[in-house]
Amino acid sequence: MIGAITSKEIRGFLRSGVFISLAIAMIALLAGAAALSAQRIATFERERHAAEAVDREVWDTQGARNPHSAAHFSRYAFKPVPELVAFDPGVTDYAGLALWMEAHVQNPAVFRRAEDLGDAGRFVDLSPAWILQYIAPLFVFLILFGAIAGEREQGTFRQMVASGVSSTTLLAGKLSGAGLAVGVIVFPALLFVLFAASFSGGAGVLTDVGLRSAGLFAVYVLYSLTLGGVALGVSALFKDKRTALLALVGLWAVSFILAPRVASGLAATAYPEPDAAQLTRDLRSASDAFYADRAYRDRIEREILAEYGVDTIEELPIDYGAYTLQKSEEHAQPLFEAFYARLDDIHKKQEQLLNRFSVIAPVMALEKLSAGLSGSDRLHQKDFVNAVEGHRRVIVKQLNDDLMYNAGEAGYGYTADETLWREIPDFEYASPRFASVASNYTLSALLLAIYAIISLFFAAVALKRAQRRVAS
Amino acid sequence: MTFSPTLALEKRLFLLAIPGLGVALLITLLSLVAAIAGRTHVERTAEAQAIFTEERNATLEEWRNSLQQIEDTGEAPSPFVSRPMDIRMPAVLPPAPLADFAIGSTDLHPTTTLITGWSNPADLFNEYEFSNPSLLSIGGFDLTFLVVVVLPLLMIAASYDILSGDRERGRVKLIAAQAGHVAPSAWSRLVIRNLSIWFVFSLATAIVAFWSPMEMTVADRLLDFIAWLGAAFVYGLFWFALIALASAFLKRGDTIAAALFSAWATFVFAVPAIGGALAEAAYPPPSRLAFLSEMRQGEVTAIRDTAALTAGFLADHPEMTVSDEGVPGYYQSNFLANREAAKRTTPVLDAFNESRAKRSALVSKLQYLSPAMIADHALTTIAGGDVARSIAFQRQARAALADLSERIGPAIVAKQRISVAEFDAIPAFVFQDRTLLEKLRAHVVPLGFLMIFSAIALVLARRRMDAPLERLL
Repeated sequence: MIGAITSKEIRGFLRSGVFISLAIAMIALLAGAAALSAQRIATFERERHAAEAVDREVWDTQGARNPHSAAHFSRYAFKPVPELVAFDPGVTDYAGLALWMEAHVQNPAVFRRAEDLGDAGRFVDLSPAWILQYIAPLFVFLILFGAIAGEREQGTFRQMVASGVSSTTLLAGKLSGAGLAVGVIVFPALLFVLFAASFSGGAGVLTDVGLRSAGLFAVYVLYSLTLGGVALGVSALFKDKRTALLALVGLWAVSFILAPRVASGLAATAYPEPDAAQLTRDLRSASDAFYADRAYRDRIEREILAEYGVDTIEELPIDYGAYTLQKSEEHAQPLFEAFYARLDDIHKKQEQLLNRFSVIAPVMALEKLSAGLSGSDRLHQKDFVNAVEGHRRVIVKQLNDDLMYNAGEAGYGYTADETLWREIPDFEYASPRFASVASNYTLSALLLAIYAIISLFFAAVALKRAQRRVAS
Repeated sequence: MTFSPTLALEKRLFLLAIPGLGVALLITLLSLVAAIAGRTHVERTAEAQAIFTEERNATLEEWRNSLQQIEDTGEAPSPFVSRPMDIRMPAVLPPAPLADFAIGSTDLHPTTTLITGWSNPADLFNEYEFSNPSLLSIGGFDLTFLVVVVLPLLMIAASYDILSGDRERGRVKLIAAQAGHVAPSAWSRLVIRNLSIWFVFSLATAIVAFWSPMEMTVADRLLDFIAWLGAAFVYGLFWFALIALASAFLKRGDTIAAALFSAWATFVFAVPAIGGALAEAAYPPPSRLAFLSEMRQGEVTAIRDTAALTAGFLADHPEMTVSDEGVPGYYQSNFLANREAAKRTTPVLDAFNESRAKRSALVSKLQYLSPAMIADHALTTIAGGDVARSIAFQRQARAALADLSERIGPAIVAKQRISVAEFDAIPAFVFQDRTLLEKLRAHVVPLGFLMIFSAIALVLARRRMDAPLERLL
């Protein structure tokens, strides 16, 4: 019986002009978005490689110079674009893509692509993930709103009930019919997009791209199942197609469009970040704290004199100025960590509020999971920023050490040359393996699974209720 | 059927019934949330800018007093005191009078900087990228979003079945039998339902407009608010006309609803998404990274050339090594490095502006495919949350930097101080905002297009509704 219902459903879809035209539109949108996204990230990667080459060249050819002066000029680290960003750009356009590894300051990541996109870029970002997250639900709702309500209007539902079909059979048949119809369009497209994204010219920084792609596929299948369950349930809840359509579109508008925006507005209002000017001031204070702390400077002077068993700075076998420069770095490091931890704490609170909204807007849970699996969310950005900071500390120390141990009598007049510059390593980065960050997404995954179960349960209950009503 | 009985009917069916009251409550609530979000954003920005300006002006005042003392006594307490390189003029982009109505791109672009010889045009705006990218990528919730995205949905939900409902329930025949025609009743009901939505929204936004944030007065906001509301009405008129057209030409309620919701999804999401992506693909922004490379090549060239003057470490820590005579050289070398960087990055900045202008021109054409884009651009511009305003600030700040460099450059290169009179002649940075007319200029044609389209749709709908009853059934 399930097979008969499924085949009837599929025949119905194939005869429906609405289904055919929406399906063509979906495929065209997905293909267009995938092509544009792949083109974008290939461009980003070309730009990054070119910038890295120039940065190395500029660094190596800066000429004879004091090493600490070179540490101020320093080098840049550029964010590699993970392959799956072609599928889901996440926060890629809104997070800085370069970091200046300057001495004394842990700078924020700069150059956010969204700043160059103009007003249109801010309205919506076209990507395969955006289409599957926001447009696919509308597609599912528009083709399924009449699945039960339409049959009730036409009287065929009564016939089906009279023939003794159970609600479970009916649900399974309807769901598999819809699943096949939607799946035939969405899943091959999803597989193709994921495959294309994996080979789109991304940076190849995802060491577990296969696992992540499989995760994305599973998550979107679960999401589609949820949408199908909701659509069938709502369709069964109302006796006419019009009300079912209105309810589903209303649900889409509120849960998928309005809720994320309201949540974002509330998060920014409830947990405001200090203004950029204030933050810059705080960052600079952290950077200057060493020079403002006379007692600390006296203490390290006493310590170094004791360590070398001498009485005066002049007797030290190392360059004391360079030593204090390195000490100022080490003094500032926990302050920078505290500064960014404070900011991170605000961001976490904002995202916790977004998480709470996921309860009424499952698309927000999906967004988080999808961007996480694609390596394009804030957590992956943070991992990149932390890796850069680690590298900054290494290269600044390397330069300060050279000055400390080699300056000798020349003091600050000492200069190093290309030999030292070439010893400074390039920044290299690989995204964390998903398994190591998966715990951050457990709640979202759980929420999506619960949503899928509830939606199927809801559809079954609504169908049973509809059968009872028709039978009575 | 005259207007009064229709109004009485609508009071019972919609205005004072659960759907109407629910819609009114929803609009009020959402307006409140949007207003608070916008207001918080504006107040936080304005407050931080006030502190920033006050602190910087105090530092400048100290700098000037020291310079006055040097002029009066002919002696400088230290070689570092009151050097022209250390002039740091605050430049801020103040929130526009109606900024709380559209956050737009103001959460993304810098709103403060320091005009100083230490900067070049390429690094004039830095260290401002602290915002949570997760929130930025979702976008803010403001009154403009409410108008562009939510109100059309409420209009459709409230009135898509006015005619089809009567038709499907067989009431059309009854109305026609009693009144002779159905059009006046249908029009009255359409107008009453949609006007009620816009009345509640207008009332809510008027309260927001009169509840001015910070030190803005109602007078500052009034004209902008009227223009903003006017543009919103034009957009509302478009949706009203589209609903009327669909109601007149399509018969079944579910078909009308599906058509209108599809139109909404297409105009509000699909076209802007495709348009934005196409504009970016057609005119991609020049590489920011190439821009950075040019800046660093310029800097390193200048550093190499001025190595003799800077004597290695000099450029970064003069306080530790430099003699009194060396200080002006330290300022000179940094100033020259910035000039070199400016020279090298100017073509890249020009390329950015050119590509942005081309992209903007393409989007201006594409907006005719989406009334939502027309409305969003117009409302955001009138409220002052558009990218163009931020770009204007950046342009004006760079012009101020060029002006300052011209004024202080000769003294720095000659290793001299400037006079107090010369300092006093340096103008403080004041952002030159557009007038309302200038803001409206670019949006008159698109809004006019929307009005013409609406008028045509209304005429067509009217003709159809005035058609013989058998065609309507």
